[in-house]
Amino acid sequence: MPNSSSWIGEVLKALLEHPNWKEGEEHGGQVSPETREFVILVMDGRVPILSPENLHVAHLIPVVGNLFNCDIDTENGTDDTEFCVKITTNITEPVIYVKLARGHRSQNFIDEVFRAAQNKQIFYILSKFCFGLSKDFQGVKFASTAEVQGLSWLRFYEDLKRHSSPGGDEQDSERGIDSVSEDFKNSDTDGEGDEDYEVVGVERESMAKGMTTLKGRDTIIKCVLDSKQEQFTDLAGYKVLIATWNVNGQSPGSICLSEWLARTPEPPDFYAIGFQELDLSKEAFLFNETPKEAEWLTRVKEGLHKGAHYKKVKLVRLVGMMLIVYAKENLIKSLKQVHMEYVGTGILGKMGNKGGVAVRFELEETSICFVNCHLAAHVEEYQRRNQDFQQISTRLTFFLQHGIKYIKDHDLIFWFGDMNYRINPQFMDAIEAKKLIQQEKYQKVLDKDQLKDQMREGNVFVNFKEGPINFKPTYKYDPGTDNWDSSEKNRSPAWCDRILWKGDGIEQIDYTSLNAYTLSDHKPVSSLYTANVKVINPTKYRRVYEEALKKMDKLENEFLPQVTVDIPGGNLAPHSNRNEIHFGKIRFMEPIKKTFTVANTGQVPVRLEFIRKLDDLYVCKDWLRIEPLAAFIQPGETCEIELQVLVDKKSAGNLNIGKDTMYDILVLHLESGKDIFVTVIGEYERSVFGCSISALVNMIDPITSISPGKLIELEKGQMPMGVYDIPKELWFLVDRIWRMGMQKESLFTQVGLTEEILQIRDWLNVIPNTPIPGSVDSIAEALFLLLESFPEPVIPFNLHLKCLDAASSYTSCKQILKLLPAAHRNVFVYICSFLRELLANSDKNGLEPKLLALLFGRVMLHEQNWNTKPNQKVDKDKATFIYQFLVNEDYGEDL
Amino acid sequence: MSGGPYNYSYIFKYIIIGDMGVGKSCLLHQFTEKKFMADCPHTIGVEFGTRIIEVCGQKIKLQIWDTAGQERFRAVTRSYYRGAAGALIIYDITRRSTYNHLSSWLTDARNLTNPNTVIFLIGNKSDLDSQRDVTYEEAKKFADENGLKFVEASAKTGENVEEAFLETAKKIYESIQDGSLDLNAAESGVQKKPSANGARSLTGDSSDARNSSSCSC
Repeated sequence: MPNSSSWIGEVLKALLEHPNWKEGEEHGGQVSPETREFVILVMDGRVPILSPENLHVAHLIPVVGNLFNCDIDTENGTDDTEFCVKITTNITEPVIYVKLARGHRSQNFIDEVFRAAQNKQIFYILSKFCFGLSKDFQGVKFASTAEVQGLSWLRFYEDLKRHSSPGGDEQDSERGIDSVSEDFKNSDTDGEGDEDYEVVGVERESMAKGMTTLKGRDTIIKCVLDSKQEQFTDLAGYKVLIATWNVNGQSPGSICLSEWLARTPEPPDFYAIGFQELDLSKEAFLFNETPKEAEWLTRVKEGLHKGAHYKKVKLVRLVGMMLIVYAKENLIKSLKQVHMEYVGTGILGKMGNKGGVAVRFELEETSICFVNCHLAAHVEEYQRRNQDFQQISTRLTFFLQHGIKYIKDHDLIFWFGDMNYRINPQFMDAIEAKKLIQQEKYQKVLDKDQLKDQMREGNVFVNFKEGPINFKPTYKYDPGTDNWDSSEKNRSPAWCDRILWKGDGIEQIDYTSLNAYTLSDHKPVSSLYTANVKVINPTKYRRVYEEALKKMDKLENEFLPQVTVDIPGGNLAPHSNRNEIHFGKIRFMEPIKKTFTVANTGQVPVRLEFIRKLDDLYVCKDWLRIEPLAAFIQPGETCEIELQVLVDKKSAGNLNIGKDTMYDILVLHLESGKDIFVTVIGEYERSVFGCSISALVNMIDPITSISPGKLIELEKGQMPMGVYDIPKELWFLVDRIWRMGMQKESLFTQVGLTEEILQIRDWLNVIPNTPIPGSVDSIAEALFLLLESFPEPVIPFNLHLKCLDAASSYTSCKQILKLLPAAHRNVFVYICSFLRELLANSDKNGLEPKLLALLFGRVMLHEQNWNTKPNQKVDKDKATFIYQFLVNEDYGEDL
Repeated sequence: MSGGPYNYSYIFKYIIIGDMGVGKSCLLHQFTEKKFMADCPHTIGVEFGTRIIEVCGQKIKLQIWDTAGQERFRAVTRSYYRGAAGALIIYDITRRSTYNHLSSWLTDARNLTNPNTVIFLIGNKSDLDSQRDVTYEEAKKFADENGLKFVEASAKTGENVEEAFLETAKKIYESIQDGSLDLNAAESGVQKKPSANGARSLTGDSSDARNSSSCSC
């Protein structure tokens, strides 16, 4: 194990496995080891990944067989926050380190990997996860095709890697991989083959936010469209003639093939003509070269139907197996993604004396594959034939621009050739077979046909179909005659040469052999089909496409965050008054709490937040507090929001004069969704707290008997001289202390009782003929509160700086007093006189001038902005200012 | 395949304003869901809907803000005008009062959006012709005098709903095409999405759109 595992910054975005592996799984334990091939493609790309195109292949790790292990690595990079998983494969020397952050997701990943390791399965699950990879991983040496025998399919990934690496890829040149001229990425992309990639997840939430990627949306719509293909496609029938002939290595000579190939009145649209044993020579076998290819091609061309012009689509030959596909000339340009491939299953399991050759293309919306095969010979070898079929199925791979396709991935498949299945000799001997054939009782013989039998057993050509056989066995004849094989082997006749198909939309028109041809020991066979190809109907397509778009829009709207707001008693309110929270009567300094519930009724987690209204500095009025201001709610869950209303010295003034009302609209914002308004309504009961000095000195009646209008008038009046010298409320409070508590210890430092303060508040609002309730301490605190609640403090705001500057000089301080409005000056002098009186009792009450100066400095020069942070220097200067009036001997002379 | 057929290139922000009960939410619902919401509750807040449309071959994502119409919310809903590329002012053809308030809605729309914002007047509930309280001609005259696009529509039957939303988008798109709407301006109400073609579009801005073939629809 390498110790130097420093981590590269790379992030694993997706992993792809070579689909051969999947194939292996499907077929359970019957798979031979070499089909258990897979490759781990480490996809890398920019974040976020929005579509497969954003990925490029960063690394390749070929793995063969079932050597695959994983372990938690306890030595490398494991700590509290992350741990490391070691994955070992048999081909690559270095191990793969996957570094994981601890957490739920990682646990899932680990579970999946362990399960995969136990079952010897590749962890395709990996594609769901994104992780950092170790540096060792970067050092994986890629085994080239030559080095890893039998892994020819790796070539595709090599190409993919080379072409998908962004920019000049130095790593590649280091590894000596030749550059390839074709640009993989730039080649025509028609969207086919996308499904070979893992579709990287599209975040629904980001979709709703409009942040998603266009490509992600594309993928989804493509999926929707794919699933509804039949709704927007019409079927167009094309005539396809499939022909197969084992020519036994013979040269065609001047043979005319039109009886075989042009036996119908109408010219077919497509031809797929398969030959086997085209050339049995050593040269053909060893070097895959044969002059017969050209000879037969010439005869084939001559034999095509004269009713149409044909062009060759593709020719593919592996030794003796040749497949030629023709299309009517006018159809050639409609064919897309034309590819050919071959697989040898002969000697050593690879050579081309047996195997399959195939051509595939796409016509409109349908993919079509033609496979010409030559399966293992000899009567008893039917299992080998089955195996050859499986080999061709799993190994024959078309490397398309957007991924790979197997034969099974095609909509329409024609599979034909010399399949070599015989009449099972255990159940019917040659003599009986020949007799029945003589009587044209083909079905009786076919009942013993190995192919039919193996298909019934589900061992081969699963889901393939074959039409009824009403022709003589195609094998084995004495060449040049119509006579059964007369050699000493005296082989039983057999239908070796067959044509099968798979896929909806194929209709067989006829199926016949051509006995007139005596060149070979096999007879040629041909079959005419109608192949129904899906053609997009533009009108229908438009409709389905628009539906898909609409569905997408709907989805997006559905995935918008959705919540309901539940206000206790709110259901009773009329519709237009929903989301109103009524606090009823609100009194000064009496907090009231109400709660309401927000429930996430949508399908995505919701982050909600109370937000500011346009031009507002705060989320809500200063008498309201919201808790919490922001929250995160999972679908189906709820969140309780508490509102507290409290009118205190900050807000009372504005509420008294109607500058503010107990009404606020809160904006509850759902992230990337709608906003909900929540209205808060209350009724403020005015109080003397928060009234200005000038209003109070003109207020003869108790505040409760004054109309709001009258109060506003009083507040606006700003009369220089009042009815009273000082506010009567102030006098009542001071007088009460005077009478009760001049000698009380720790006066003004003991906190009052809230309940009593509220009683004092109510008493002052009404001024009944009863004594002021409450203890001296409560009254003292009420006095503070009253002074502090003056919207304009005793020393008006505009003089504060002057006071602070003048604080050290009593003379200057006295000068400032002259600038005060009369009522304010009266209050100031009144308070100071009262404080001096208190200090005269300091031997009893223990009060000190400095303490009183500090306390009353704060309230008589209270800050305009209630949120101002306490400033020691300012407080000290304020205290000094007050102090001057408490200790100077000549107090009163100039006042 | 040029950038994929399902992409959208722009996001347009719309606001829907007008008196309470004129059918703003129903119009939005009809447009996004193609359904009539019979018992539509009053909007207490600002609803949000999206739909992708196609204008002149361009896919455009509409982001529609449907505001509460109650007068008491007016001060708050004004916050949402900012950055709207399109404003749909709705009145109810069966209630004259909703028509009478149009000038105040229009003033808000003009003051709070940018000069290029396309303002579209919609007389809703055209299906209730028998209860008509405002004639087409009168409203048309008002629209013409104020340079507004105008249709009568019905959120119930869907009549002209699609048209109004699409017409607005078309006008916005034209403004982009002729360069009068500056996409780089913060409050244009239009965002250009990079197309799937990657690098090329990263530099693509309004000039990109201007260079492309002119609008032919």
